[in-house]
Amino acid sequence: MIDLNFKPYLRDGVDVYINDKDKTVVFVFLSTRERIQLNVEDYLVKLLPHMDGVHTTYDLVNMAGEYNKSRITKFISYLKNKGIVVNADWFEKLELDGNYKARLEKQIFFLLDMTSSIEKTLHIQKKIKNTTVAIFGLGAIGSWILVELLQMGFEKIKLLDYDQVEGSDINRHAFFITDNIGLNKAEAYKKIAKKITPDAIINSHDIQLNTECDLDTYLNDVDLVINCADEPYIGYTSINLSRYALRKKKLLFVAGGFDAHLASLGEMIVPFKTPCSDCYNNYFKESLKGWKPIKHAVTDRDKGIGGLISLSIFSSSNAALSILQYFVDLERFLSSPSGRGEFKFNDYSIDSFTVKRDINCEVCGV
Amino acid sequence: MFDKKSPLRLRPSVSVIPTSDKQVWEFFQSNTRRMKHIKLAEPELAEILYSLNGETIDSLMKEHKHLEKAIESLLPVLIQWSMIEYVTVANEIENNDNYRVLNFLADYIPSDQLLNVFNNLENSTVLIIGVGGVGSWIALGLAQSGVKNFILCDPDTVKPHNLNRSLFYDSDIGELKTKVICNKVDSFGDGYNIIEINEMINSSGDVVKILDVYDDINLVINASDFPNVDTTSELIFEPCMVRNIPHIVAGGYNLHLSLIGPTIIPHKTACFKCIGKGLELQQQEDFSSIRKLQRKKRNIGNISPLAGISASFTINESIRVLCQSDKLAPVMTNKRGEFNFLTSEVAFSNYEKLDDCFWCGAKNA
Repeated sequence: MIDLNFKPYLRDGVDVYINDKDKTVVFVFLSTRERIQLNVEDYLVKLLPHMDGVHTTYDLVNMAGEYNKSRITKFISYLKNKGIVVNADWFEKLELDGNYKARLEKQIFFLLDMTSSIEKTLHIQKKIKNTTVAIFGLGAIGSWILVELLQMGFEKIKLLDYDQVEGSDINRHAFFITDNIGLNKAEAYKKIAKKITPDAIINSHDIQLNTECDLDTYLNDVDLVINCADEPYIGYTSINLSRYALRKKKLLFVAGGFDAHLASLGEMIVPFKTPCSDCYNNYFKESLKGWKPIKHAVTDRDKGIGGLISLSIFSSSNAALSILQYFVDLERFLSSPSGRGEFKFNDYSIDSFTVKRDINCEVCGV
Repeated sequence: MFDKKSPLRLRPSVSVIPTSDKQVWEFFQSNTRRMKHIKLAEPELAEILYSLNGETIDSLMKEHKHLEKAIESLLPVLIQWSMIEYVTVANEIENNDNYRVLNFLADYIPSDQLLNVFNNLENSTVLIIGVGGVGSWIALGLAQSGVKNFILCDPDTVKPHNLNRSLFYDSDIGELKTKVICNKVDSFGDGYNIIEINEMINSSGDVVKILDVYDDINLVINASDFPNVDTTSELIFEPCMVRNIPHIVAGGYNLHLSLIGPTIIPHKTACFKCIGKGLELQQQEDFSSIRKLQRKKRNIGNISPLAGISASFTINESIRVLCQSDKLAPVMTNKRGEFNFLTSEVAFSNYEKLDDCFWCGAKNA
């Protein structure tokens, strides 16, 4: 039964529509678009505007008349269970460090909208805080993912890159400043990351991801690996990482940068639950069969390739969003189809390719 | 006119791929993922194109006498289609730190016009109203894309709860948002001009004052969502219509979907009012006998990736507007879009100029 001192607050992320004609109330959860429709008697409808976090349940009972006490408490109890009303001071009481909570207020409200549960919200944000992430490649995609991970409250991050910041990175990197030109990207961006979140624990390593790289040295204590290393090609560097991640049951996100750094939607690889990088490789090898460009007349093409910062931001934001979705609702995450996508600048459409686990995959097949 | 004596090359980002039809070749622009199938009856002509690296139209015509006519007519078309480029322009691009943006724009803008068009982008002046959740990304993103002149309007200082989705640092807390953006842009290099205005926009008159003082503004971006983006757009659109200044309603958070706002080119595309009316018509049926419970001061959540996605659309649109080229028109004219973060899908709805609109109607045409 509900405590009479409970101060119900109609949650900001829920819209309330009242139909006075047929006595129905519809609650619409803004984030998920879920709806709950109820047939509600008049005196209960009249109480809704007073569920403002100021009035106690006791006050509401008095407003409507003592004789309806059990109906009213049942109604409020129902709304509380559904996450439509919350205790007015839920945010103040949330057990998170004060600075961290202040910085993440908007995201915590968002998470509550997504989950309708204060317990789940707290659990998700704590899990994010305690997860160790590694980012390979701090370039057009990786640097922006780093920004967004920090903004989402990740605080244990390893940065790995062998390359230096160049003047032309102005067109694509988060944190670009001329003072960093010539410095190792991982080292330079670690310093800026610490400015964003002084409490974060950030390590940087000047190494290249290749077949000789002993992954375990760097990744043993890492929970989530993000691959943005596109030298020579992201599909290639991912194979090595994906096999390692599967063996060690670690999460891997293969982010953007597929072919010419444009706005790709990358993929989360959940070991033995979603397709692995070998599955993706097999899929694209098959679907691109017969598509073979003629050797290009211009041999050194690096400075002939285009890019836009907005496409890097789009791609990395989708990666960050996907990572957040994994933390918010694993079941929903796994039930939606895996695949890769591509944003088309030309008309702002998104092409998506659904990829399934390859049953014959030598790495993750059954 | 096309310079027949100037060396040409196949653009490095363009691939040529044989197809199952031996006479048809796919020309693929990898920057923008667009392709054209071109029928070339002579295999020799295909070879000329895919190995083009420094030859001129004149030299090719001399070398391949029997294909003279085909070369003379086809190569200018391929320049127009942004498949091949002048080597002199390519060299200039390579020596520019903005070579990625230049090469990207070159998918749309033919080689002979490219540097002029980029000049338009660089010399533009953009007024951004609100440099917070979405505006901070837009301002820095445009500065990193080549735009040099900004007027930033925001009265606020950085607060802890801004940090989860604006490009501010912990060390920026307490500083004016415009000042922080200004310092960051200055660290990108020389040549930027930024004017800061730290006043709240409360009325159309406040916007008029700014536009009267700074009369060279090429684009106004509304990224101010207090109290909401519709209210602020209401104040901004009229002065922009009067002065014929393109304006973009930058994304904002709309019912938890990221709104992709329209780009309005005054008197050419549906205006803010036309779109508002169109929206009303779409929504009318839904809520006829139903009332919505009104509540004050709602704290709706928000996250970094949605700010980034919103901003990315506005940056794309701004670049299209500021290039001022008919080869690269804005996409979001007569349109509104929403990005669904649960499915990563985008959906658009279309609007048109309405005859009874005070601004766009027949009287004003």
